[in-house]
Amino acid sequence: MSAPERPTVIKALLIGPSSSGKTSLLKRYVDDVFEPDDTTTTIGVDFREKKFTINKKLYRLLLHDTAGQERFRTLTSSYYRGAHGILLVYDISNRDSFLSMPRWFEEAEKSAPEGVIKILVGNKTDRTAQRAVKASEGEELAKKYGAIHFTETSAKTRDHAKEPFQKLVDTVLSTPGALDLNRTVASRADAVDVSGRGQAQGGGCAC
Amino acid sequence: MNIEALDQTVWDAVIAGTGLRESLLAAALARAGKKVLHLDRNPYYGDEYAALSLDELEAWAKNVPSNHMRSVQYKTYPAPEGSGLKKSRSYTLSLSPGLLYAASPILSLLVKSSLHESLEFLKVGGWFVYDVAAPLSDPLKRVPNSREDIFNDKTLDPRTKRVVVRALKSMVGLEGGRSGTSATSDGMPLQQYLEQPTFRLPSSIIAAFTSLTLRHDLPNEIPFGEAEQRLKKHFDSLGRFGAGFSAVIGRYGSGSELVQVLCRAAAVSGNAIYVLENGIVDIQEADPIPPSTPTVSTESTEQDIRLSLKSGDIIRARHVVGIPSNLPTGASTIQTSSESTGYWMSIYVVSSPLKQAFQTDEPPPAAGAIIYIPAGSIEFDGYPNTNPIYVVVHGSDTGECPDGQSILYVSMKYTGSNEVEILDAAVKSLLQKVAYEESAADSTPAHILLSVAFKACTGLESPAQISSGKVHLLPHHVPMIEIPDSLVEQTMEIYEKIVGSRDGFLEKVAPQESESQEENRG
Repeated sequence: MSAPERPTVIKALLIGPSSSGKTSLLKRYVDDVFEPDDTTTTIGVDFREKKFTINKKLYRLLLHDTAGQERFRTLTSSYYRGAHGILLVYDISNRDSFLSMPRWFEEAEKSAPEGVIKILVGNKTDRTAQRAVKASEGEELAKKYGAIHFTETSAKTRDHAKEPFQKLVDTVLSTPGALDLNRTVASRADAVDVSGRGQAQGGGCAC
Repeated sequence: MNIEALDQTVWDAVIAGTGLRESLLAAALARAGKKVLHLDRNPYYGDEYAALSLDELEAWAKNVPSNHMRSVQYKTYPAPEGSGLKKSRSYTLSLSPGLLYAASPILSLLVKSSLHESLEFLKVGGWFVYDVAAPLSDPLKRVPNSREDIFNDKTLDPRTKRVVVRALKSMVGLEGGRSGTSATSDGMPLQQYLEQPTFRLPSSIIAAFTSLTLRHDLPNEIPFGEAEQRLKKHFDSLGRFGAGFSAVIGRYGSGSELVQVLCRAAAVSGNAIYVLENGIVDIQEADPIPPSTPTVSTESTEQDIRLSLKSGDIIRARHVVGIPSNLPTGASTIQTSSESTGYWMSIYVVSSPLKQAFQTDEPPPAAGAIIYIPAGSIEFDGYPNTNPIYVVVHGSDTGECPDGQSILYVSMKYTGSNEVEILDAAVKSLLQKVAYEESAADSTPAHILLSVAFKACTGLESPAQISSGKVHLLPHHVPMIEIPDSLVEQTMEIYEKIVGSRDGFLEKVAPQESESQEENRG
């Protein structure tokens, strides 16, 4: 065998209004846990990572969460850089949450790389009694804004909770050119290693 | 809009403006467990370090949100079919290009705190002096970095080569030579130093050394002591990250990307809240002290300050930080009269990749280059440029413009008249000569697609850093070609006043320790 293969990186983002359960979905997918009382925004973690192998090829899925910057819609444009896919998450028990989604689609359109894969997720299906958004409405919105997939989930009950992530990965891998979107990661070779762990030749001239 | 609960917390610090220092402070404070509310009156991050799309830049030009950037001229130029400006979003144009030397303390701070992993740095490969008199094919003269460079230079005679090496040795201790210049030479201008009988260097070499200072003054105006520091920085940085280059730029813009990564780091810590298009309109100490007078630090620091925000919220804070023009107390301290000193900065998008400027012998490929145009090289209406011009070239590898185009950040000291025209003439001259071969090949001459010129005034000196107990004024600064090292010190000073110590500045705390969230509602 040759040198160990470097995993292919897939960068995915979660966006959407506060309290739509983005972090819960993420935790359910990555750790298979649900913390009912944890209403605070994601803390201390820049991104979560999931490694997997498909057809003997190694992949690293990096999942970036909003770190609370969705609260006042102040996500940085650099958050979107190099993203392959975006999960847009709203809360089906909160009408306003759903109504804010066009603005999130527009922001993704403005800031994310062209051709980024978008998936619309209506979360919290466990709240049957409080449902304020019909599934058909989500379906329609997804179509209108070019999301390739729509699903309703519950991070709490696991209902379809892995589906949006799996769909995202499948689509990135099956769409020709979708992986190349991530110019940032693809071109790492051109970048200078500033950590000093690299070539460090000492100061002065090279003679 | 849903302003949730900004008034439910006593903020340890409210920071107005997302410039680089403010963002560095926000990240450091948030990582130290302090509650930070970080505001910017603009709809984008970065303040004077912002990087904007075409549409955003056009809007910026119409209504510049800064006292320090004035007389903006935004111009687009007609272009032949297919070679014009592309979509607004394919451009990321920085208000200050901001290179970083390898030896910069900012870089080591980023590495220490692992924030460099969220950024990509690209090589500033070429460092050139523009020789307007040179033949068409060869107008860029590479600034020598080593003895080999000097000995390979065919335009120098053997005596000059030896002297240049000696001058380099004496100035920067190159190749083990002692950098033992005497104190008496410190005040001497760089030009005089290099023209001393022991050296008597030709003007081309003096221009090359001057270009390394990144100073916009004439060689006979730069005190040797200062030039020496600048040259040392360059030579100290050479080779640290790879052979033959000393500086890097960030992909998609240095300062603006740094700002965004720092602000995200602050948010990720769980202790910082970000609100754009909002600012502080009034500051009231607990004992009502007239807000327009900077207060003296006599009162007890236990008391909170009350802040009125543009959004109408009234919040409480222990500390307030910002540059004078972002704070109501600071505005009165700015002297608005003096516009006499400063720089013209003009951002050009041109229809050429300017390959010659990025030529490099060693990997990685270069994405940035510096071209120095000595005084007297360019002419407009019979008048030459009386001051040198710096051209910082960003290629499309930076992700800041489409392939086949490049961005030129052109700056010159302000002296009086026709400056924008002189900068235009400089760019046209460069395009004619540097893009000569490219133009010849595809028969469309390289041309300017967009220019955005503005005056960056340094004459509006606000008082130096003031900390009146709880209100911390950062001095205004006009970032030019380089992101200044001094901002680390300025930021740490305020950090120390708020936290009590500089220990652990920007260090990441383990996630479980950083958890200081009180309001865990079920």
